[in-house]
Amino acid sequence: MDDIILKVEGLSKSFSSTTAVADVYMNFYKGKIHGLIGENGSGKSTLSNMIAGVISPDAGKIIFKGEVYKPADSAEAANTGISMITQEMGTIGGMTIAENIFLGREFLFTGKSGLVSTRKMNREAAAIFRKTGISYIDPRKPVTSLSFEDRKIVEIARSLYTNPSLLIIDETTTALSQSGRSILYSIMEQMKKNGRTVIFISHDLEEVREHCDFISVMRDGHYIDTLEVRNCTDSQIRELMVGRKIDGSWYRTDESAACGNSIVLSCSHVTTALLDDVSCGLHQGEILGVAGLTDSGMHDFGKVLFGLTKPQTGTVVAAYKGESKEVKNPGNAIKLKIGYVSKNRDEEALMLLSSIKENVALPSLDMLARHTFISPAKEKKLAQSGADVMQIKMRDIDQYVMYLSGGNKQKVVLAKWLSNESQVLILDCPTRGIDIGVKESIYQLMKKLKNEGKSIVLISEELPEVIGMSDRILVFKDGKINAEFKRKKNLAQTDVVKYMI
Amino acid sequence: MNYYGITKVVKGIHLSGNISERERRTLQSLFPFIGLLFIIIFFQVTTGGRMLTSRNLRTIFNQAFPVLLGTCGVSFVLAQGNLDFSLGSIVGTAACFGSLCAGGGLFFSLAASLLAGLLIGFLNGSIHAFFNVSGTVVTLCTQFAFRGVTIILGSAGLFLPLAWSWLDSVQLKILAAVFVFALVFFLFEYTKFGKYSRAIGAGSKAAVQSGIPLKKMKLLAYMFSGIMAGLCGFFALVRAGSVAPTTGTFFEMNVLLALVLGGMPISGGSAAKLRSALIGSAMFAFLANGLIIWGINDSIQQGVKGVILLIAVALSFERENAITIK
Repeated sequence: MDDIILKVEGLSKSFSSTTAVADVYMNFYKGKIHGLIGENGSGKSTLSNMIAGVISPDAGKIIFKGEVYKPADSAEAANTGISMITQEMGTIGGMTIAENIFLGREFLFTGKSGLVSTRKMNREAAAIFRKTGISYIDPRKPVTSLSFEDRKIVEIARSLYTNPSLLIIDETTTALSQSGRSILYSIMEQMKKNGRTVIFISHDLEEVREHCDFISVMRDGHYIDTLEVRNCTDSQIRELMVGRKIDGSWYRTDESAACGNSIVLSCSHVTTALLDDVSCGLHQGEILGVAGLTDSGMHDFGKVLFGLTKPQTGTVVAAYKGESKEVKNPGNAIKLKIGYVSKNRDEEALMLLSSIKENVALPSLDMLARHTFISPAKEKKLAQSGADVMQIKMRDIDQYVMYLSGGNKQKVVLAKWLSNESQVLILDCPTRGIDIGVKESIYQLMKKLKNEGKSIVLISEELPEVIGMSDRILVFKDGKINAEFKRKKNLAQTDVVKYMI
Repeated sequence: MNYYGITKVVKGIHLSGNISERERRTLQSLFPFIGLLFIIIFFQVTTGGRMLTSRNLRTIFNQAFPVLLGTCGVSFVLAQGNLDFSLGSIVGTAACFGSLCAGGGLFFSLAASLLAGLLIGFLNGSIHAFFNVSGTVVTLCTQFAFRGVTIILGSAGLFLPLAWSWLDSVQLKILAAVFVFALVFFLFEYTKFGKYSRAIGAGSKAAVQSGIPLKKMKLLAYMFSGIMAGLCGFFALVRAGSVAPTTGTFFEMNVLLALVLGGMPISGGSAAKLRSALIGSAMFAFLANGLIIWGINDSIQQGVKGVILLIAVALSFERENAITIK
């Protein structure tokens, strides 16, 4: 076997009554990229946090480069050669980019006077950026002048500065666009070439397959198995993650693009800051897929259809009960039985500091009110049945949404629209950051809704999902619809991607 | 050290802490009751029993009454996560107009006070909702502006017609208090107005995406706060028999203190409950009365209230509110 750079032996960690990681034994090899996957709650993040020194294990030990490794904190871990980047914001506003890179290490630039030489710091930061291939970023600027994505890239550059032998990437790619991801991938390849190691944690099987040598699966805090990427199939991996066979197909199996003739939602000549003269229509019973790069305008497209973004020119029209009505704002879109699931789940689709009941019932309060009085019993009943239909794993409907896992949070969002009896659903990245079990149920839900004659707009950056589920696909590029595809067997990703970039 | 990494861990510990989330929330909602009991017992003991005499209780009720109206009125603004600093100036201005219009009869006078409050509330709400100026800033400005109005009008010597002095009766006020509280309770807990307001406080973007008319709700909240303050202004005129340039000063701070003592979260949202108005007003009245019986200097009294407000806000803020996004 190749050289082992890190060994984890009998590692365990519990948080009061919950066991997050249970007796895990794993090996990581030099010059390899290790994928680590598992559903939410599988323990993969806790494990990587222990390796990165953020938390300390309750039992077991870690052996790094042949010696017992017990960092006091993540700074010490970074100095020893293990760095980690995560999904959340890790840069601090109010400072420049260079100051963020060298946070905690300013002593590198103090001369005899003890004052930090900003010029030297900026020069060094610029050098790092050139090496990592991101010289377009000016380190003298305040970090808040960068987009979320570029800030994440700055964090990546920071973690590389200490020349780590082991880099842990914990679900960072979920928040990045294609260009951000390719920078990350090239860094990973570079690490591999230099004989260093990367632990890559992601929910995206496709991505993990493409860039990893091994895939290790965790489930319920236990280490399950490691597969070699070359010799395994997606369904094998999924089964290990869920612990049972996945019956039925993943996406849709039918090849027909059957749907009604009437148009339920349409926009004509819509122009916004991000869209340029877009016109299209959604048929009844159709799943209309929308693909494109992050900044192609497709996300704004979803907002326009829901009345959330007011177009500078053009109109959005919905057909409801035989009549055509203009969609002017979310309030009236909801009355026309349209629902919208934002890709920004925590900030836009949910009120985290509210109960499941309040979240689910909110759009339907209008429906429930009798002479301004809203019966608490009716509200509870509505929310409860929504939660039951979606099989939300919760304590009860009075539980605050912030305590739910990502997948269950998304179920709350969907329960909200199902309870409102929405006929048209606009879904923006509905399965992002969600584990396999819930993903499967969302696809099944979409199939069921289509069979019931409901119509869906599926905006997603996950191309296989769009190709697998849609009757028709619109490809957005630079604010315009660049191509349209009808559902057909063996529609290849490359065919579609051509029109995206 | 990655701050958000720590947050994830702290949340993890918190989630599986020994007390369940629900138990903790119940405990936290009991604090105001315990606090009220504590204040009453504390002051009763330290004033040698002078607090709970029937005469003094009358005084306490008269002090609690306007605060109750004010807290009920402003609760929608607070539920939305906003603040209203203009209440005191609205009280003063409304009292002035009540007196100025006394010539037209009782109902006309009352209507004038209410209208004054409603219009100032409308001003607050529209600037906030349509020009995107924070509620705090808008109401601080109107506070100054209408304090000026009160000073100018009040120095002319405005009085309540002697014939109307029967209005200053405890029975009438109890009736009014019950009616107002019942009405506001209904609005706050059982109608869209209350539920939408709490949703806005919990997450305004998500509220908008669930169809809530944000601007309309913000405007309504400030208008309601204004009209209730107008009612307080009328009763201030009734109680004092006249209007002074200082009528209503510090009223908004007393109202805020009462609400926070009563358990109302400053950031609003789902945890906002109307009973905070009731318990808080009682707590405030007993507290203020106790300080007076002790014979403490007026300005020191303000200082004490300020410190208590600070502590109460700090305690109510240690919850998840601070960690998650807002």
